[in-house]
Amino acid sequence: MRGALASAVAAGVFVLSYAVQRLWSAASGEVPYEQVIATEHIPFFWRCSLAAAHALLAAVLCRLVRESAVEPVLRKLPAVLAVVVGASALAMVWVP
Amino acid sequence: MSGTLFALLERVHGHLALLGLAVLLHPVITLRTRRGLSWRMQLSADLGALLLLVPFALGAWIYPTYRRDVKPSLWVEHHDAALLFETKEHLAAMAVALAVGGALALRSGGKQPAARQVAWTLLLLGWLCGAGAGVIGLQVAAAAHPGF
Repeated sequence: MRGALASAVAAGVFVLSYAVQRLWSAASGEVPYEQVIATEHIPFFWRCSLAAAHALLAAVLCRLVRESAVEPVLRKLPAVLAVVVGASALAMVWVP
Repeated sequence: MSGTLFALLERVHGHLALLGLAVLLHPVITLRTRRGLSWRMQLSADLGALLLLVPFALGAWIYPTYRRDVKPSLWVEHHDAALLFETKEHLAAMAVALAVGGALALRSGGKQPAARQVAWTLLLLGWLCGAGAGVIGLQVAAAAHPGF
């Protein structure tokens, strides 16, 4: 059961981390397009890598959760995931 | 990367992703309509996640070429399509993470109803994000097409 929790939380954290990073870069002003294509810097790769690192960290932390606490958390997780993913996906449509 | 190889990989990328979405629909439906977890559900969830992961990796491989050779003209001639492409990339990354997470959650705790519910939620959300990316991908491909 801890494995299921770790997988689910990791997926949710990946999505949230990706969306927050994109919104952050949009708010703080990403490198201008003309400069981006002139360099090897590809924000998409960095974003995915950092989100994967966050997801991995979340999965490791989930392994520390007490076995008795796993099922109650799993029961609440679908609603949380729906909100997190729904909001993140809408944000990504709003801020390409 | 040559233009021919790029076009080939871009088409394989799109077709594999479509196949992945079709396969992923099986666990999304059967996890809702049947009790318990069969090996077929697990297999289709694993296969669906893999068939989204592989085209994502292919897309990542051709992405630098796209940025260098396709994006500049797309940006100038079809600005909306270039922005839509970015949205497609965001949704695709999310879809892959959710599908892989769903398949792993099903494999780890598929015998427990709570874990199955979480896995179903992840697979459904992954499928929705993937379908959104697919529809946008079609729009972008239509705009990026050289035409006649």
